[in-house]
Amino acid sequence: MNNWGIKKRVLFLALFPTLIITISLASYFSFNQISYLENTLHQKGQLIANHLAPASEYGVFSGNLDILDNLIEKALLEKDVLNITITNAYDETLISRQNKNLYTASNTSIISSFIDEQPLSFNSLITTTEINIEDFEETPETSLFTETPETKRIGHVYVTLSSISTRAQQIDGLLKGFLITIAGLILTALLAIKISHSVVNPMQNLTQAVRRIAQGETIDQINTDSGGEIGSLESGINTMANEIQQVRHDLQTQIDKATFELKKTLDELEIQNIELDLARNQAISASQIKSEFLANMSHEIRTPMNGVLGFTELLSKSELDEQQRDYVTTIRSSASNLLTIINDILDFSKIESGKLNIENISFNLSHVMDDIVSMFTPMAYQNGLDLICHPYPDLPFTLNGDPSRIRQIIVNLIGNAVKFTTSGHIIIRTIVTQQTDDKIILKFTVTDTGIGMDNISKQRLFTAFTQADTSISRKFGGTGLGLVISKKLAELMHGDIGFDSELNKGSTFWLSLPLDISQSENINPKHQLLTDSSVILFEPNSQNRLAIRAMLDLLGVNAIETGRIDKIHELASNPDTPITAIIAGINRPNINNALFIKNLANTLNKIDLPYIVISSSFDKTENQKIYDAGIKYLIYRCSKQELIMQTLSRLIHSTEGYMKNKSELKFVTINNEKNLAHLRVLLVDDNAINLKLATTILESRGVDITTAANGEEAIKYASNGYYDLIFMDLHMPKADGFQATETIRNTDNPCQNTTIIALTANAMPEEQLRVFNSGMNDILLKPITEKQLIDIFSRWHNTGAREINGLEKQDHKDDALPVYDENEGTQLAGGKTELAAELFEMLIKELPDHKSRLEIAKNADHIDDLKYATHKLHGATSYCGVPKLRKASRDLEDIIDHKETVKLEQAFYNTLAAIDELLNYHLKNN
Amino acid sequence: MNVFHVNNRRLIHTPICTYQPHILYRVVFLLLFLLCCLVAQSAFADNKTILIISASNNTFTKSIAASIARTLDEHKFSYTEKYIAADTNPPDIDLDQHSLIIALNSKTTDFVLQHSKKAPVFSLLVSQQSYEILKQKYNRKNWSTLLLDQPYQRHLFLIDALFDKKHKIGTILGPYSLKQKNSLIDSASGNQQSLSIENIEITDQLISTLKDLINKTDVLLAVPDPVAFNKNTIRGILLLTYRKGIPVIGFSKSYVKAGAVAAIYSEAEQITRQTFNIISLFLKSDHFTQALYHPDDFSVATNNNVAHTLGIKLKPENKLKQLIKIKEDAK
Repeated sequence: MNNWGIKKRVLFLALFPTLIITISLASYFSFNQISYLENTLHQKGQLIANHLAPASEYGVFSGNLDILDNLIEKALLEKDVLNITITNAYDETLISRQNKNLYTASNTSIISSFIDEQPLSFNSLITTTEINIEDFEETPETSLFTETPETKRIGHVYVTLSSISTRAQQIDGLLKGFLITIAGLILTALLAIKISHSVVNPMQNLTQAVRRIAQGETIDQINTDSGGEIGSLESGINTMANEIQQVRHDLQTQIDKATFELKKTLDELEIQNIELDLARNQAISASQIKSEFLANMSHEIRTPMNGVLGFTELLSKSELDEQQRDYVTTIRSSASNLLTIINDILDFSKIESGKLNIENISFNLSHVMDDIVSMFTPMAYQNGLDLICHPYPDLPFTLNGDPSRIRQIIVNLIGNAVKFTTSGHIIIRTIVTQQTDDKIILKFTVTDTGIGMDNISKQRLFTAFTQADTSISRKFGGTGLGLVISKKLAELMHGDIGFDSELNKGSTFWLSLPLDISQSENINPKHQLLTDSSVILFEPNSQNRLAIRAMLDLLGVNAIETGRIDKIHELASNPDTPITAIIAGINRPNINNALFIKNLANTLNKIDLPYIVISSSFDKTENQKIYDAGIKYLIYRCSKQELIMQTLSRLIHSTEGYMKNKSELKFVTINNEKNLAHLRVLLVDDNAINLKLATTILESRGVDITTAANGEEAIKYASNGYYDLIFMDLHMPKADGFQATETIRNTDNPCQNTTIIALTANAMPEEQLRVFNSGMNDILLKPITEKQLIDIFSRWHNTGAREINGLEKQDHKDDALPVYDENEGTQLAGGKTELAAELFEMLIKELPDHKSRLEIAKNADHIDDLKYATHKLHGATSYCGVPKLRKASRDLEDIIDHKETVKLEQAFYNTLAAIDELLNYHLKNN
Repeated sequence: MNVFHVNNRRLIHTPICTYQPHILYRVVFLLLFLLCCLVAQSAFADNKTILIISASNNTFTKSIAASIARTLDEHKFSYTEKYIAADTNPPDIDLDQHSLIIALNSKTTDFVLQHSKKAPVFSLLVSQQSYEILKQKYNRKNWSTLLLDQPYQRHLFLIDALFDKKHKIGTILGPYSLKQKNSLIDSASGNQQSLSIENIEITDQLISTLKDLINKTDVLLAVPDPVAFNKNTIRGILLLTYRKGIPVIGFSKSYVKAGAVAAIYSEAEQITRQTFNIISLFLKSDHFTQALYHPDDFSVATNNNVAHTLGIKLKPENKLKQLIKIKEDAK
């Protein structure tokens, strides 16, 4: 039924209910009619019999047949009465009459002739009628008569009816009903067909039209003469078709237009693509040119920078007055910063152009870390920070990797930590997170107690040319490339870099690197020397104690720790634990604590055990004070870890004759001067300035220098004599550095196996590759500094020479200290001159308040207030180039701390004088 | 419900003395007198109680009984009413205790006569035929009956009163009324009337007998007989006589209503009145004057429609009664 069309559905809906109703009604009424006729016939028969019975009473009672005959004759006139018979009480027929006219032609229909007669009989009893004749009725209860009159049956009336007529009527009714039903159905069918035509045809037309519309065909107008809802539908579809056609037309127009425009755009895009391709190629080319330009520029910049830095270095060592020294310091600082920037830009450029290659050479990680820590310790100290390095006990002795890039990353991380930490400490950890036989994953962490970062700053980190805060660049300087380069380098080394930071609480930057373990010479023999030894470790600072403890663990030494001086003697005299040596630490808070130092010195000197004191100070004067207090065996905390461990090893093993080794110890610790006098060096460079610079530096160290202006001369010198080291410039006339090296390596000459160091300003990988392919051993990037030269010697000739940066710093007598040191201020401001000036101005504004607070506290004799005011002043001077005032306030703070009341008066007035002097200076210069 | 009223009335018989005897005789006489009074009082108390007994299920007899009781009550007679069922046997009271038992209808009379030996019984509402049966069954001396049926002579007087000229009277007697044939003949001859009498044994003989009879008579006199004139045959008799134009003289008011031209009958008040008179006399005389009484008083009923149909001009019923009375008085 679901697949039926409208026509079928209409016909079904019209005919099916009608058929059901018609048949039902016809059946019902026909049945009723038949039943009615049947009942009527029966009722009629019985009625005639019942009526005849009392009427026949008298006839039967009296035996008067005439009366009965008359009655029957009248009854026979009734339709369908076939026979009437009356009998007496003994059922003897008194009279019987037949209706002879019943089947005459006039009474019978055609149907009747086809029906068999089935007569129906009815009878009724004839009884006597009782009529009361007694006034005082005698009932059986009252009468004595045995024979009482009873109702008496005196006969029967039998009536026979013919059923033919009734049957004929029934059949006639059925036939008529059937004919009417058929006629009604035919009429209904005709009407339904007519209606279905009137509905279906328009609907079919509509369906066809809609289908054609759906298929996108154009249709003619549909006739709308159907009227009613269909007519409305036809009109609607016509309207819809028109709308659709209009929309299609509009759409097609738009499509055509859009297609045209698209085609035009595609053409333009094609042209633009071609142009973009050309532009891209040009950009790539330009980028390459830029990279090359940057490389060349770096070369070209580095070369003069080499001269600038070198001669600044030399100039600073000459006799200069104070102003000239400031200028030189400024020049050196500026040049150094400029070089750093150039290096960053160069590295970034190389990384961006994908030309940065990562080395995979064998190196000693401890040396790298020592170098880094040594480099930053003075700066950290200067900033009031403790730089603590925790060694990892089971770190492989040598690893394969790119030490220079690892160093670069860690330097960057520590440099940032130092830069952004104003107080507290910086802890450097080296952790082995995963290790196999040949692989190791190291994690370097640099934890500071600095300013930390908020969430926004965190998101901006590791983005090129940005810093966590725009104010940072103002305050601390920098290009914003350091972390980006570090991240890129870490990724190039298949490592990762990240950080955790909390605002105002500090940050932890970490570098995770997979490295190969070098299979050769990976044994640290020192670790097995000091086992079963016990030392007393006195170190008040827990982090420093941990670091020293770690080193002792590496040596296999059992450390008995204490944080109290008075416990040292007790521990040393414990017979259960034989002590071989004492290791003590002096931290920043105690460096100027004369009482503490004196106490410690007395304790150590009283105990007959070798000892060594590790000082956190980098101030020569301060260390001298410690020495003068009686602590003769002093080592700097920033010293190379290996050196410290060697020192400790010798200390512990020299228990018996340690006294005669004291001088040695002292030499090792204090007199850590460079000694290159026994070396012969060939210096090859076509640049006279570079030659002069290097010559001046090395000669000052006692190195025997031979210079050559080109490759040919170099070959000649190398053929004629032995040199411990050859510095070879790469780009020279006649024979360049590559040719010269190859000749030296490939010819039989005294310098065939001499270490050759390439001097170049071009750090591009291609050139580095060429350097090593030509036989050179190392590369020294211009501009060459004294430190770099010393490091080269340290690396390739184990001279023991070491430059301790902190000792480079010249200290001044109090009187010689400048009132205002602009250069120092700039350095403290991260190289930002403007920031330095701003900080200075702020200090000048605050100075009257500081002075006022100091005077109030002093006059009130409130030591705590005085200490607080002094501390505030000292803190304010820490970021400004005011050495004299800073020194005066620091001295005053120390005196207050040490409660040296005798010196307090003088120190107080010195501080006030310094304030006045600075204010006058400012007034005069502005 | 049985209503039992006892209201004994003492009747004192005082003897009259005219001489003065000796004191001893006086004392003896006084003692004897007192003894006699005691005996008389006892006897009176036993004999003067009236029991009205009727069938419990017959409305008409109960109404007659109530009427008699009311009359007795009016006249300060002590009586008791009792209704018995047809099958009451034996009685739950001692019938002989009563000085008079009034039994209504034949069956009650039969019951009383059967269960009482010495109590006087007065029957009423008893037909002639029933009386004959009872009389044969019980030879009872202190039993009297007031018949329900009118005397034949009174019927014959009615025929004379109805018609101005003499008619030939016909009647059919059944086995129950055959005994009155002579009485009927005597009455007719005494009244100088022509009377044809046909006898039938069974009802089936009625039609043929009647057909013959109506051919030779002018008026049909219906007499009470359950075989000849009963409620089943009345319709046929009336229709048959109607076709012949012969008027039928019935024996009850119901007969007139059924189609008879006229009839003589007794009404309830008339029966009650006559009954009271009889029992009053009995109570006074302690015996019945007659063993059998016919109704003294009567009423006449006519059917004007039938009379009109038959072309008979009827006199008013009072006139007819008066004429009958005159004739009876004349006899």
